[in-house]
Amino acid sequence: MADLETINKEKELLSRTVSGDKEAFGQLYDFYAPRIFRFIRLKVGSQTLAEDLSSESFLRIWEYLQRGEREIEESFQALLYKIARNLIIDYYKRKSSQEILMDDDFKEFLEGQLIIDDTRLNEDTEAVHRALVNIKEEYQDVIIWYYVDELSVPQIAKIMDKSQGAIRVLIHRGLKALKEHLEETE
Amino acid sequence: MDVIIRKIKHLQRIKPNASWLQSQRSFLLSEIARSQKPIKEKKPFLVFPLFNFSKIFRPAFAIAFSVIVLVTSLGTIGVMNAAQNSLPGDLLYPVKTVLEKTQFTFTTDDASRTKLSIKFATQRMDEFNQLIDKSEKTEDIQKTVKKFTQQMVAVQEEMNSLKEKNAQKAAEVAKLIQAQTPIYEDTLIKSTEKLGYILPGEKESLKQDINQALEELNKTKQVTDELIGKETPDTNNVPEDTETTPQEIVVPSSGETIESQSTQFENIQPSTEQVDKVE
Repeated sequence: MADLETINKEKELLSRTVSGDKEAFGQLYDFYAPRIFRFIRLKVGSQTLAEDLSSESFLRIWEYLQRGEREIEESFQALLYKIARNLIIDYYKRKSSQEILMDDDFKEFLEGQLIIDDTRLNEDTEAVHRALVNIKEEYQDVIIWYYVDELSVPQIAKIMDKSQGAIRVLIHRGLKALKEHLEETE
Repeated sequence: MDVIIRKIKHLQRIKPNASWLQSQRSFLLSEIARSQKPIKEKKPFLVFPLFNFSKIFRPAFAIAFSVIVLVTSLGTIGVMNAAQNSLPGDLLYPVKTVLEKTQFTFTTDDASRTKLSIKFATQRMDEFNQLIDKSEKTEDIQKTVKKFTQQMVAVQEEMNSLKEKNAQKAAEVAKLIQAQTPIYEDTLIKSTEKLGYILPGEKESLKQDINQALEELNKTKQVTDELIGKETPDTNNVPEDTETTPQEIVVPSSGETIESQSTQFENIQPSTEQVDKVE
């Protein structure tokens, strides 16, 4: 993430995207698509759904940027995560979390893409994921952004429209909640 | 806690399927391209049948319709006129280039195509002459010189093509070109005197482009001279202006005092009038 920011590339690509440059948008897609997929995949139960919501997030952000009604003050990253987060919330509203967990194909997904002979690693990853989906929505988000996507506290504060102090508290509480859920299952 | 953080970090290995990622990119860009098209507002055609047609023929409608057509036409003509006077870097300049391309595409006759090429070259020279004093336009100046060079190459190609089909016509067109080339040469050579404000690095690069333009101009002169020379004994009717001997082009190097060799054209600047002459 830092490399994009240091060369100010994202700003340039964002401004080109706002003026309708599809190639610039393509470059932003290349950089953010794997991250946004992972963020959504960790929060929803199915691979197909994660793919659909990732795709929808990019279409929505393109439409948003093309409206041209206001000045874009946020970063592309913050906007994209906000859109993805709202799409997930909408999805949750339509379906109960129980249904989501029942449909969960995360184990199969892990087996399909991780190191096959490292059973322990796969088990750990699956356990963390199971614990993660059981903690509060806000905690899930900050944990993924801070530890998995390695965003900084100010970046997360921008996405969540909260103060940096509030984000630090959320990370701390989220980690504690995750630990409790992991201990319960062990 | 460190153990938990390490376990959370395992989640970083989650990645989307590479082929999905690629196909999704293509899908996304095609969707975007599709969504951009409706901006052209083709709606009226769809909405039109909803009107009661009898209303369209009422006097009020007829007058309103005529006013709309008139205003739109005047607006379009205004935009096109403004585009004709635009310079590289201006908002309407792309309109000008599109108009030129369209004009060229719809011209099939070789002689007319050559005349058009020389007309466009004259326009590039005219633009170059207007831009040369503007320090903030360095990039546009360079682009204009390059476009002029391309135009010169096009003129040569058109001339060669015309020569094979109709040598006499080619000689006639060559005379028109011959009248313009000293003006181009003079403008290009004199322009180097005005580059004092440009940064040294940019200046060198621009000078190279100007030299390239002069080189192509020289080749064009050779082509026209050859054609006129060929035609003269056949027709036995040499116009006065063809007596002009081909002039050697001297490309001034940096730091050298530039003295135009085409002194007879010293006060001639390409203008729209000259463009008309070519036509």
